[in-house]
This record gives sequence, C-alpha cells and structure tokens, in this order.
Amino acid sequence: MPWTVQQVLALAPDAGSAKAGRDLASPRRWGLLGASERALWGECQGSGKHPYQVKIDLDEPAFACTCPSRKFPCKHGLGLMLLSIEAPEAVARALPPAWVAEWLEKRAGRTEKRQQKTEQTPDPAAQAKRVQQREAKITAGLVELELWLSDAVRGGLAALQGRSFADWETIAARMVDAQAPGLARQLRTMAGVVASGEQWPSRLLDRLARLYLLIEGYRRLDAQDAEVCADLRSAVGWTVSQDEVLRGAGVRDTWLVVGQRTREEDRLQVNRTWLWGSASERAALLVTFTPMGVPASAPAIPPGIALEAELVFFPGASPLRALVRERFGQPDSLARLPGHGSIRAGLAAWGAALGRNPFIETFPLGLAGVVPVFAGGRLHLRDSEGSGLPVAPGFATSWQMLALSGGRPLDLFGEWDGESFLPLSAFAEGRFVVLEKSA
Amino acid sequence: MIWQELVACALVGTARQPLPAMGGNGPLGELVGGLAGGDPARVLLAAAAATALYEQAGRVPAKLGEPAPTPAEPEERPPCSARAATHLATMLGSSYRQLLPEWLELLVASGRALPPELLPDLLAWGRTEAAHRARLLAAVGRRGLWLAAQNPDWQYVALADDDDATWQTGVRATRLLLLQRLRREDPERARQLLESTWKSESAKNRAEFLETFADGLSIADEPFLEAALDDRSREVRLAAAALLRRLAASRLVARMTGRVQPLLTLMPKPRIHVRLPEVCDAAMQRDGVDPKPQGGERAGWLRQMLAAIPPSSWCRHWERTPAELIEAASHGEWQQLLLLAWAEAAVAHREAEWIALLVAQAGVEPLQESLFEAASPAVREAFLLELLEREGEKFFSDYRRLGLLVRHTPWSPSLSRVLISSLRRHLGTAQAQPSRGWHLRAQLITWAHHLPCELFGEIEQGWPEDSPHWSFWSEPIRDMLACLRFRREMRAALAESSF
Repeated sequence: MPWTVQQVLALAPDAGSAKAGRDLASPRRWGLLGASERALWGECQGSGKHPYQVKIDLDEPAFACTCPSRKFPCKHGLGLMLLSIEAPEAVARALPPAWVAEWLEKRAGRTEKRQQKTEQTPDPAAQAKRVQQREAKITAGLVELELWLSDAVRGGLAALQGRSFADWETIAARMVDAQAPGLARQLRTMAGVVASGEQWPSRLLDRLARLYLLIEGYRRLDAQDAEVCADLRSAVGWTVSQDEVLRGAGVRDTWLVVGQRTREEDRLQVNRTWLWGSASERAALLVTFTPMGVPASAPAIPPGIALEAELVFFPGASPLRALVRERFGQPDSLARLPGHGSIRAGLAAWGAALGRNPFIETFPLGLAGVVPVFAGGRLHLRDSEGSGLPVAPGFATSWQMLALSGGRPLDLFGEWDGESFLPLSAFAEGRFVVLEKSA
Repeated sequence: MIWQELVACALVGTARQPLPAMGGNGPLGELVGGLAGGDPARVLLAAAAATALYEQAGRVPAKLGEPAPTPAEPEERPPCSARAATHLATMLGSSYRQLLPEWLELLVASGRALPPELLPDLLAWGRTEAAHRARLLAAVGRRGLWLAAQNPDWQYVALADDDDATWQTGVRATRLLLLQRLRREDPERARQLLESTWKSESAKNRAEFLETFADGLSIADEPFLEAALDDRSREVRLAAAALLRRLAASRLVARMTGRVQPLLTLMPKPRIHVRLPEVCDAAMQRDGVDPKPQGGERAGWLRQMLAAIPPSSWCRHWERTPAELIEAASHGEWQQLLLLAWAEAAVAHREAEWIALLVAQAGVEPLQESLFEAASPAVREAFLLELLEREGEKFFSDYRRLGLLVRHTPWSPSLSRVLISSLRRHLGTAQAQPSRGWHLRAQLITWAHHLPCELFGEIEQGWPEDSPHWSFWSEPIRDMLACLRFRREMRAALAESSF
C-alpha cells in the first residue's frame, strides 16, 4: 500500500486533527486492530464508556467512526491509518468483524444503487414542465439584466463607483429570483472589481461586456452547436446532473493530482482539485461542495499523487470540469509537474481555450522552469525568455515559493485568471510541494 | 488602441459622449464595424466583448524589466528525511515548539539540510528566540541566508560576506550574533572588532556586546575589561566587573583578595573568625561592589567581595583541604554568609571539587539553583537520587525540589527509572491529591524533554489508572507520553538517511 505519512496527514481537516491523529498512532491506544485487502478497522478507547469503532475503506479512502467529532476524517481515522503505515506489524490480517463487513457491504450497495438510479428517469412530463418554467424566468431575467447593463454604460461607469455593495446585491438578487445563479455570482464580484484600484474601469468593462456576450449568446441558444450551448447554459447557472455526466464517454489515463484549493463560497466549502492527464495531456477539474459545518462525505484526493482513473467530463467546448467514474489500483506519488516551457506558450494555450469558451474564469496553468522575482514591489514569475507573469496579490506563501526556488527555475502549477497567477503547487529539487492549501 | 477608447467612452457614458470610430482592417475591425447602428450602449458592450476577447486570446506576455536574481549557492548538505521534514512542519505549526532547539541541533549534527519551504516559518520563529539564534544560523544553511537577506524582518541572520562589513553595517541583532559566534571561534578577533567601534557604541550596545565575552573569556581580555570599569555607564561597569570576577588572575580578583584576607582568620577549633569591613570605598565600588546591598550593609559588602575570590585560594592561604574549610565555616554565626559566597565563587571559577562538596553539604532550602546547575551531571544525579530516596512523596509536592529536577538535563536512564517508578507509586496513593499536585501537573510535560527517548516503551506502561485521583493525572501523563513519543520519532527520523 503506497500511502505515505505525508499523504495521510494531507487528508487531515486541520493541524489539530493531524497532531491528534499522530498521537493516536500508537498500538497502545487501540483495542481490537485488523486489516483486510480492502479495509482497516480498530477500536479506540476515548473518553466515553464504549470504545470508538473506526473503519476505513482503503479504496477511496472512506472513513467512518462512532465518535461524535464533526471533523472529517476524525483523529481516530487518521491515527488508524498512520498506525498501519508506521507499525504494520500491529495491524494483523483478519476477516472483517460484522460491524465492518456490514458497512463495507452497505458501501458497495450504495455504489450499485447510484448506478441503478441513473437507469430510472423521473416523470418526463413534469420535468419538462419545470424546465420550461425556469426557461421562461431566465428569459425574463436576461431582458432585465440587459436593460440594466445598457443603462449602466449609458450613464457611465464612473457613476457606478459610488454604488454600495447593496446596489450590486439588488441586481444579483433579481438574477437569483430569475433562477440564473451563475449571473448572480458574477454580479456579486463586481463591487470588488470597482474597488480594485487603478485600471478598474477597464476591468469592469471587460466583465460587463462578457455578461452582455453571455446574454446575447443565450438568446441565440438554438443557433449554437451543442458544446457552446452547454457552456452558455452552465455560465448562466444550469447544472447538469452527475448521473447524466456519468453516462458520457470516459477518459482513462494516469491522472496527476497537481493542485488543490479550498475556499468558502455562499456558506459552502468549495474544494477544487486540478488533475492533469499524463497521456491525454489535458486538465480536469474536480469540484466538491460541502455545506459549512457538515462533515464532508469523502476527503478530497490529496495533491501530489498520480492515480489511474477513468474521468468523465461535463459537456462544453473546452471541457475542464469532470467526475471520477472509476479508480484503478493504488495511487502513486507524483514524479513531475507538467507545464509549458514558456509563459508565452502558457498564455497561448489560455487564448486557445478562451476562443472555444469565452466564459472560462480560471484557467489551469502549468509553467516549467520559472523563477520568482520581486519587481516593482510585486512578485512575478520570470521564464527563460525574460517574460514575466504577475503573481496574485493574495498569494499567501510567496516566501515559501522564493525559498524553494533559491533564485533558480522551478516548476509551478496554478490558476490564471487573466490578471494574475495563483500558484498552488511547486516541483523543485525532485520534490512536489503544496504552496497554498486554502485561500 | 480601440480598447482604451471604449473604456474612456464607457466611463463617461454613451449618453454624454459619442462612440469612438469603429471598424478598420482585419477581422476584429470588420466584426466591430458590423456592429454599428442601433442603441450606442449596446453597440459599445458588444464591441467591448469582442475587443477584450480578441486581445486576451492573442496576449503576449510583457518582458520583465527586472533581471533574473542572483541564485543562492547550491546546498551541499543532503536533504533530511521526509519524516524529519514533517516533524519540523508540525513543530512550526505550534505543536511541541519547545523541541525545536533540540531538533535544530540534531539536524546540524547530522549534516543534513532542512526543506527550504519551511525556512520562512523558521526564520519568523527565530525573530523572538534570541537564545537559539546561533543554532538557527547553523541550520538554515546558504539557502536560509540567501532568503533572509531579502526580507527586512530577517536581517538578524543576514550576514554579509565578511565579518568586518557585517560589524560595520549590520543591525544590532546581526552584530550580536556575529560577536557570539566569534567569541566561540576566535575570541581575540571578537574583542578587536568590539574595540574598533567601542567609543561610538551606545551604552545599551556596549553592555549587551560585553556580555558575549562570557564565552571564550581569558586573561587576554583583562586589560580591556579593566579599562571598562571606568566606563560612563553603570551597566557597562557592572558587566565588566562580573566578567573580571571570573578571571582568577585578574587585577580585580587580586584587589578583592587583598581586601578580604585581613578580615578572615582561621581559628584553631577549627572555625573561621570574621571581621566585617568598615566602609565601601570608591575603589570597592569601582570593582562592582554594591554599596547598598539587601540586608545588612557590611555583611553584604563582605559577601560580594568573598564571592569574587576563587575558593581554592583559601586552601593555599590556610593550607587546608576544601572539605576542612567547609567544615570550619559550618560552625559559628557567619556560616550562611561564608557558604553562600563560596558557592557563588565556586560557580564563577568553575571549581568542580568545591561545587560537589557544597552541593552535598547543602540541604535543599539554601541550595542555589546556579550552584546546582554548575555541578557535574554525576553530582547532580547523586544529589537528586539521594533526595528522592530520603523524601519520597514529599519530593513530588514541592516546587523547589521539582524546580531543581528540571534544571538537570538530560536524565540518565537510572535516574529516569527511579523517578518514574517513584512517580507511579506516588500517583497511586491517596496523597497525590489535586490540591497539592498543581506544580507537578504543570511540569510533567517538560519531563518529556529530559527523559531518555529509548525508555519510552518502559515509561509508557504501568501507570496507576485505577488510583483515586487518576482523572486529575491522566491528561498530563498522556500529554507527556505523547511528547516523549514525538521526541523519539523525531530523533529516529533525523537519523534516517534521506528522502
């Protein structure tokens, strides 16, 4: 089993859990301990009367524990996993006891049920009616937004500068009512653009014009091909059901987990994990949403590993978002970080993707052999051609990146938003290092 | 620059400003030209969308005016193991931070380098840990120095290439670090550097820099220190006097001996007859004698002077052994003054025989911590073992005894075994009640720094978990065991070969 201590610790929801898990990785803390090909289990004496029963399905890995902790995975799960790596002799091979076997069965059943669910279709007439109703609301919403946009440009962007967050919120709320949450989300970011300092009118006009393009495109939905259609619908806020996506064709490859970012958005914990197909040479984005304060159903795939899997992409002209349909075998650790040989080549790839889908907001960008340099009080990346790319001002681990480079070229992976680059991970001196876990 | 014209128009508003001329050659010009007519606001939005996309899709990165930086010199030491790196990250993440100095020391000894991405957190930690900076400096390596030179917060380690330049231009913390290092490697050179700028240093700097002379102190420093006795600043004068007291061959010690010898007489019984000094004159004050000591003035003057004289010189003076003199001093009304002053002098002059005798002679109450710390490990262990055996339970309820315990480090396996088994016995009794156990409870976590890691397996087992007060003790014992276990893993990981 190639799980390493570092990978397990990367699963910890916070530093406290990592430490507590490490403290629990001692055979003395455990009563029953056992392992099978697929699972690990153990009983850990906590402060309660009965020991906590901890079980781990190694395939994912998936954790379950009877302790009341809201953290996920809890310290017991982490401790058990660490123990199995550090003291494998303490975890004897055995047949799973009933409480483990039942759980594993139930998990297998759930996967089957999920597959079955994709078979059955809800009442098509009722569904068609709901879709129709929503389309009507969106159409009305788009008319309203188009009017609002043209009024804004007619009256001058300078007038928008004095507006408060509440004003932007009003039009955003109208788009929520019109069931176009994608538009609402973009409008909510506009107040920040107005306050973004020098050159804000240029940035704001870019965003407003992009919204206008979206409205115009959506109105001519019938004239577009299916992929463009999917991009427009997704930008407005239609979601495609996972079951529907999973019915699509898959891409099997060795996927390198090159970066990850977790942030809070609308009271949701949004986890974005970027993959790179080593043979298909394309990026994929896995997104999971978890309500704040509720344990995640499964821990995210940790960055820095390579896994053999079949991915299915959401439809689109330049598809990025994907789902994992099936994983094969155990993950390996990452031996390289793929990237463009120059900033020019990286931006060209971005330009090509924009040409296919103008509504891409964050673009996955791997850069090989760049040096972090302070220029004009800001951190930039410099490639061998002497070109520069500004690093995002909110990037929290500039000094770590600088230390890693030591003034020499290193390989980076991150997100490019057209303005600046947010590094997520680095590969230097033969090692993969996570630069920003959350922001 | 159609984009800038579009922005300018949008900023003012199409109601007030006509649209810029649209159209032109090339595909963008043709597209935008085709948009003309209709509502100007909508035309502007459409033209802006097309232009922005056109420019972004064809974007070429700007050349960076800044040249490539001068890279750090390559690291010659091989990297430490991945497990060791995780331990460092854990400590910098604020768990077990107290173990950082030990980790750094072991890292340097292993000849390995730490992972560079942890340097920023380590350098930030070092800002407030002046006592561990020398260790930190050795651990961060060339990459650390390269990095620190770029951040004003880390100037304290950013040493210039040559010591002279660092001394002339560095910030105070950097200069102090340089002086500390030089005092260990080349005390002569350190003194010359300090002398070269002595007159222009502030009083605070002079006093602080002088304190580094405690390392590598020798008679060669004496003329400089003797001159510093006439410094304008009282702090500097006292610092110089304190150093000269430690040099048996200094003029200051000779003057003290000259003053005290006429006051003490060895009587035949044997006992020591004491005459107190009459005045504290200017010469005495110049030598660092405080004219207004706590307690009796005249006794205080004598104690301060006696404390500067190497105890062995009294053996020569009276032709007696240390044991005989301690015995003689133990009779009569000046017993406490004589023994305290000799203890202080024995520590200052590192006279091991005297220290051992004085530790053995002292009970716990008057035993000064400095004397205990100056004693050899064997002497300290013997003292603690004897105390544990004699006092048993009482040992664990008294903060003075516990305080001596943690001043001894590291604990030998035999002392550790006795301590742990006594502690288990103690915690198993009804006497281990919470009201008397707070000192011990708060201290237990630090035991993990003193206990030998190899004994972890033994120490982990056999705690009196059914004792009446166990609920009060279970948590600190668990924390102590966790910390000791972490230490054992941390040491093992640093011994591993590589990534």
